Amino acid sequence: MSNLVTKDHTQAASKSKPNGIWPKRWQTNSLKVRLILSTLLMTMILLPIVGVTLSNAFEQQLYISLKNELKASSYSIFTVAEVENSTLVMPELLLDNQFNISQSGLYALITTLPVPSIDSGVKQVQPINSKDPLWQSQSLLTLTIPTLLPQPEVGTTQLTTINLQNHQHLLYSFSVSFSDNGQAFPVTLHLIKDQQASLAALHHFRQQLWLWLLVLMAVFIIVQVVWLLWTLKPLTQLTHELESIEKGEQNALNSRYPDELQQVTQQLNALLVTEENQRNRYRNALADLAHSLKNPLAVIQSQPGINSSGQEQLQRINQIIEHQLKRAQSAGQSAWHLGVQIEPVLDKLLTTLAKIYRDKAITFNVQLESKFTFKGDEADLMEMLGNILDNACKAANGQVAIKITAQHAKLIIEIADDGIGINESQQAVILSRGGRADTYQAGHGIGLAIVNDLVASYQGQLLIANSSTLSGAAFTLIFDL
Amino acid sequence: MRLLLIEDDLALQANLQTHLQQDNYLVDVASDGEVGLFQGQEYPYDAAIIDVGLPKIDGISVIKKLREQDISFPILVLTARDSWQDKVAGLDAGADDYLTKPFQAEELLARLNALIRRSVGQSSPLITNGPLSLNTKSCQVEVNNRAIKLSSSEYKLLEYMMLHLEEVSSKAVLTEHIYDQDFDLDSNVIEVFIRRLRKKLDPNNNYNFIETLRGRGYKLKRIQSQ
Repeated sequence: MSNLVTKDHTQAASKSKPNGIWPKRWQTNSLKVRLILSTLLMTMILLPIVGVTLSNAFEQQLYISLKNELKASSYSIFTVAEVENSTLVMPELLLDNQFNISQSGLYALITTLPVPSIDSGVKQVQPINSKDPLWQSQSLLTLTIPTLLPQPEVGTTQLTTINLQNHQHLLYSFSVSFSDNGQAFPVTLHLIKDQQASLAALHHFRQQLWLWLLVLMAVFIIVQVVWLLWTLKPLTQLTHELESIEKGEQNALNSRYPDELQQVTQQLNALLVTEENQRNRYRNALADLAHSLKNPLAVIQSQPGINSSGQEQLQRINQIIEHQLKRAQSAGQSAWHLGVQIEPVLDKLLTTLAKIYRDKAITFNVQLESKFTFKGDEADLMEMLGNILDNACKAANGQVAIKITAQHAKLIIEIADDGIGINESQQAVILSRGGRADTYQAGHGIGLAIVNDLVASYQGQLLIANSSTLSGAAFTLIFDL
Repeated sequence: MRLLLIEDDLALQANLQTHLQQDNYLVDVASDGEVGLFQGQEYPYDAAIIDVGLPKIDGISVIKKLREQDISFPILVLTARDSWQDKVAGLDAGADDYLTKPFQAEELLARLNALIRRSVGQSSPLITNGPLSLNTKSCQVEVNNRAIKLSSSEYKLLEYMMLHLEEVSSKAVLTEHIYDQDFDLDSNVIEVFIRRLRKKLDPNNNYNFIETLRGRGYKLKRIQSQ
């Protein structure tokens, strides 16, 4: 009972382990996807911000230069203005010809600035009706003068926009006070500039800016993707090499890796070698142990005059040694499984079996769909196949069929013979045998028990049935591909 | 039949030798790979029993070296390691069968018998030649279904010749297959045994089984059944 509880516990623990704060569908395990996403994010957010900033800066600069231009024009107008006897005297033509040509786009007019009432103590400046300007430039003659104009205080300027002839115009107002025989004569100069040209320039600039930003964005993304593939190439290579190792096509990482990965790959190679060596050492030690235990047994057994119960006990001791040593040797529990090509292992076994069962002249019918690999130890694979094939050869009249296929990511090895088969009760007995060698009765082969143990250590399955094609039994081994 | 037994465990070697001798085999023993290999190369054995775990040169290498020199007598491998990898390695090196330690002496004798018969193209333990029949398992000889009593040496001589029908065997070869290695070769002994065999098998000279080829040796003739 306690065993069951422990099993459940480990299952539950391994099943639900949250590995981040993000919901599962937002998580990605691919470095490539992560890098591409961050690149896209950077390009899609950073470049537009750059675009907007540049565009705003350009617009502001445009306004500032327009303002400066208008300021300069205002000074040139005030230089030529004079007040005589409370009348503003202006020359007929101004120096800047844009003021002289009708509808040129640059206009000027001067209005009186009412003196604010001092009594109230509050300087109130009201926009005035400017139907009667003191002066207006020739360019403005044919146009309707805008009515409400701002009245900034003397000495100050104001920049606004007005609508003139359905066009947006910039309006620059500057108030000054002339002195006419000791009396103040405050006026406001209004300069009106058509914004069409500057708006067009701004529009053009924006168009160009965004076009080039888009081009830059595309180039940036392409460069990033290429850079990414180049950077991640060693990782891709590592994945490929690991796959080859798993398939048993190579037994170490061979390529040159960048310095950052070098340590990992070197350690991995070292681990592979150590694991292999350790397993070999272990196997040799166990083989030596078997040798030193079995020789004395062989001596005892070869002595004349041993009775049958003595023989039986010897047989039992031998089987226990055999089974436990084989279980200890199995690499099934190992965390790292190198792949083993099945075909060469099978070929070797069939050559050997053909020699052992030469008198029977058994025909081996091998059906191997493709070059399958077994994820595990070669010795274990050979032990499983060898024992089942040996049984099949013993049972067969003359034919043994081996079929190796893959279905639903599972490796399926079926071995059938044309013997008399195994009835269902026997099949159950074979499969229900426990893992303890000393539960077997003398004379029973331990071959299948070892197969059963090995299959279990690889989380595989062993099925026994009657063959559908041949008259005898069919043993099926199922493993993860 | 002359056998080579290479086994480093002296107790096991002695026990096996006794069993084999009881079964009418002549047994030469070696306790390490080096001596075993030398003997295997020097003498025309009928079969060899070789342990895998040997000092100096391991059993698998001994087998490989023998086979490289086209020495083709059947070899039975004894191994304490019962993995299929070891079995495959042994048979791949050139052995013909394997036996895992510990084993029962009867099993070893049966396997050995089968190997020797197979090596001369004989699949059943009962070898017949016309009216003459010899059972390698029970060591019984019959002529026209009448049992013939033979001494151990006479049986060994007849068994060898039955397994090598129509082959000329010199006195030296016959001596080698019948006597222990330290036996002082005296060709007259073979002549004596041949004379006795002829008398026991065919007292009336009806078949003339054994033919003498002057200066070359003897030959057991194939006789068609009537």
